[in-house]
Amino acid sequence: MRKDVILGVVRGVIEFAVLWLLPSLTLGFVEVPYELPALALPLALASASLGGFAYTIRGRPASYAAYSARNLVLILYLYILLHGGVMALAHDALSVVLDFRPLLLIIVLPEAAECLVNLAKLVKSRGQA
Amino acid sequence: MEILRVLDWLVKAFRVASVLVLVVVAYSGIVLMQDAQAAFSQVQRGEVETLTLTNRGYLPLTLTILVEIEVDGHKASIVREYHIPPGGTADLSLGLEELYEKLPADALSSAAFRSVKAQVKATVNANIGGLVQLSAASSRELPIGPLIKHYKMEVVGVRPLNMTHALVKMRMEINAPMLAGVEGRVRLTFDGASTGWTSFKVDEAGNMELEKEVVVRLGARECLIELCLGGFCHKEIVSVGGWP
Repeated sequence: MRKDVILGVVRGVIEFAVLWLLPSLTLGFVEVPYELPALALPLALASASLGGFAYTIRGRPASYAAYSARNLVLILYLYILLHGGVMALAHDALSVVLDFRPLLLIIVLPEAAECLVNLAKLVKSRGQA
Repeated sequence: MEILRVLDWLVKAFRVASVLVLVVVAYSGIVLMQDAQAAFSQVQRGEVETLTLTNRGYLPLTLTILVEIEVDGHKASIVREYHIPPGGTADLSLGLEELYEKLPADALSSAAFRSVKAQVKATVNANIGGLVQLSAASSRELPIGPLIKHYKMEVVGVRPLNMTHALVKMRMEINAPMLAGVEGRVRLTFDGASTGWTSFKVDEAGNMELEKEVVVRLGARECLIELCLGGFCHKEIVSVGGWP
């Protein structure tokens, strides 16, 4: 059990590093006039915590609920982080508008699909219990 | 449970495909941004008028370039669309002179003798494989004119008519390639006596030569030249030295 907790914490830390530290550091190195939205940090924390928790209790019905919740939080995180797929940047006399909504859809669709699969697993495991 | 396991694998495959698409689009977008930034800088510095853009990404690129110019309330624009397949190349040429030609004569004639400020706005829309739409706009003020490169008015002959008047032959030359085809008129006034308006047209090469004979009172020292191009008139007083 202690090993599962440690692995869950490690997983959560790695996920937080990927979701928060990596974008922050990248933006620090690349000179792009873009700031991470204020909501990104709590959402990254929530997603990492849920992921870590779900991993700790993996195999139990509650883990499927936690994974589903994490999927939803991650979708929200990506939507907030990427400004809904439309970004406006201004650099000197150049103004740039980037519209990548189809791409955002491609990014979040696997999360949505995984959320549904996890919910199906939750329903199935409850039925078996 | 078998179906759920299959679905698990499908989700994993879907995720891998999604990451691959993301990497391909990100790479295509980054190289395009780098090339576009370099191109914009070159154009803004006025170094080139023709740009060769290579689609170094893995997705087809559709490029729409809109350049608008506004001079004295007159507007003109040029739109160009390019479809560049992956690895393909397109020559993007758009000279300012081409844009000036789209302006009505009135707009350019105001810049015939003086420099006027033109607002030039360039908008580039890039569509990368239908997944990403990038729109970049830049606006700057450009001075236009004076468009008349060469302007000369000279007396080529004087023939006394009587004790008080002489017949003066005047010759006028204009070179203004940007004003090719523009119609104008000129009037000369010597000591209050006007010649009446004479019409002319700048030829396709941008040249105009006009000779006019004027009866002038002897002793006239100044000539008022009124030259109208399009809807803009220029007045200038020149010394004629007096006759005889």
